[in-house]
Amino acid sequence: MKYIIKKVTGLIIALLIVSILAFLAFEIIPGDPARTILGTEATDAKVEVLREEMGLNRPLHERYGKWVRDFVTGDMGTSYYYQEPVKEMIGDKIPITVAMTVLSFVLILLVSIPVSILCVRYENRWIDRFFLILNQVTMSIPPFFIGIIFTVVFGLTFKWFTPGGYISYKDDFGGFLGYLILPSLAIALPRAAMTVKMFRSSLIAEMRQDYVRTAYSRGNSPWRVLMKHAVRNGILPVITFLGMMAADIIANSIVIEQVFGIPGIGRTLISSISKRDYPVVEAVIVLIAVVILVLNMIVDLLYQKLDKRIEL
Amino acid sequence: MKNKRKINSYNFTVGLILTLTMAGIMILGFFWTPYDPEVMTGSLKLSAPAFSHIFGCDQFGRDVFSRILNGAGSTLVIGVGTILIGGSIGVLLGAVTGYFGGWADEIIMRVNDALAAFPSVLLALVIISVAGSGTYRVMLALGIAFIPSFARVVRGEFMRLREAGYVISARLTGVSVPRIMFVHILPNILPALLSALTIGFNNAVLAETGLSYLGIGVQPPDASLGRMLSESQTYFASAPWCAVFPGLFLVLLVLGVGMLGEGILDRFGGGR
Repeated sequence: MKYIIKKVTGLIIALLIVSILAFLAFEIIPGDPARTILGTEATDAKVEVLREEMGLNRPLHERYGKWVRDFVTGDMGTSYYYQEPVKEMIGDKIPITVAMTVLSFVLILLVSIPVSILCVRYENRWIDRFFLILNQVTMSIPPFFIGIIFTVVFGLTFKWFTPGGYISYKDDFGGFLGYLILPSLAIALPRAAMTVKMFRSSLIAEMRQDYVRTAYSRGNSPWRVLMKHAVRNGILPVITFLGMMAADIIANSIVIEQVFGIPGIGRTLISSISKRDYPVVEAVIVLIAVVILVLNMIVDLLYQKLDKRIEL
Repeated sequence: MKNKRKINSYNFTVGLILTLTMAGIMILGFFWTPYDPEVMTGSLKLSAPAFSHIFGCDQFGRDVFSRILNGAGSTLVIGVGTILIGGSIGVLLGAVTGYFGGWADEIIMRVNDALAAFPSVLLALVIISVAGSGTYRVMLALGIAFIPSFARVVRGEFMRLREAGYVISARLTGVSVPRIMFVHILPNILPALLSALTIGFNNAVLAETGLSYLGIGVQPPDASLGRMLSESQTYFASAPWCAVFPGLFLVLLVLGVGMLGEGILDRFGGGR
């Protein structure tokens, strides 16, 4: 319980810091938001009225308070460019990015766990060596380059999908998931390689432990020792690692959405940055930060649940 | 165990050779390119690799190899600049917080943790959206975004060494604190620091090319590998060389530096 309280306090402090930094970052941008909305021809009087209405004349801490309150209640401001509430602009895009992130995560696990176990079972044999080299190379390929190659190989050559022919989850959920598999794989492959590296060395360290020797001496087969004993302990450091990777996956999904023409939250973010549509940028960034921080906390709690050795 | 050593030393050697080769090519690009990377030759549009243009030509008839040399130059400037900015401030913060500890450490590390949980690309995006894009702004944005990761590594090392025998005896003989920190401790954390710098360099390269791919990194007329990739995506089926070679260059660079970083840890890490 004490551990949970400590983690939640940590989360609240982190959220506070991130929100203040994000608020200040967009506060120091030169230019008057009221004038940006009204355009250059607006009279000073009109601008002043809007400034008053938007609360821009109030002191900084009051505006921060209002911004946080609004954000928590779901009011994320209004887009300068589209004059639309930000919430409506990004609301139906969130599921797309979430689906892609979850799918990438699942793919990372599906690829990395069997490969790591195989490598450790046949440590220093040719299969281990092969994956060691393959890993090192895969880790070095930028996800968007993998994405480009996928669009060409699977889209143009094999015609498994139409590049840019995104299928909305509202029309056809199966087709939507199908379309997301290759983008998610592009994100997942380099991360899976990193995970294999991590999991492999963690498992190898476990296999040198005394309890493994004891398990062998009781007549367990090598496979059984590995699967029943070593994996259970060896996977612990990997969980923390995977938690840290969530941030990476989300960051990469921003680029990958562009490669595959997926209208997710990343695309909105990039086009808003080019259009200097700050309320949208601010909302998306803070939203992503909140998700990442909460995910990290969940991972920490999960870790503690799994590893009884951690102090409570 | 014998095999492990063999793999380690090959990491270092191959990494070093690959890094030096790529660095050599990139530095060469500052002084010499086979063709003017900006000159468009209509008759050579999307022409395949040949002896005269070893990596072929792009959609405007520009020499792909010259453009790679040029773009890699921007990448090198940004990568090195990022680790210089992030590294120097990160080392300073990490050294002070790790050596002294206390409330300043607590506060700085709390901010650090909050920032570190944040993808550095996203942090760079915030800075770019506020300050604008372009080579030097991207460098600055990434440099700032990478401070927390360097600070964390250096802090851990300083905490580990602040009570080491040689540090205590230096303190007792009246050596000044800055001298202890930077003359006595710093050289001893060099393997960890260098390996963190190689990881930072790779992350900076990947972030820069990603941002440039999205059109918010390096801006024209500066060439960039990321933008080459995004421009050539449309022509991939008819002219794969426009995308494959910049991509391959990127992979080899990141692979070399990554292996070098691991090799440094394996070889000089001192049992860690």
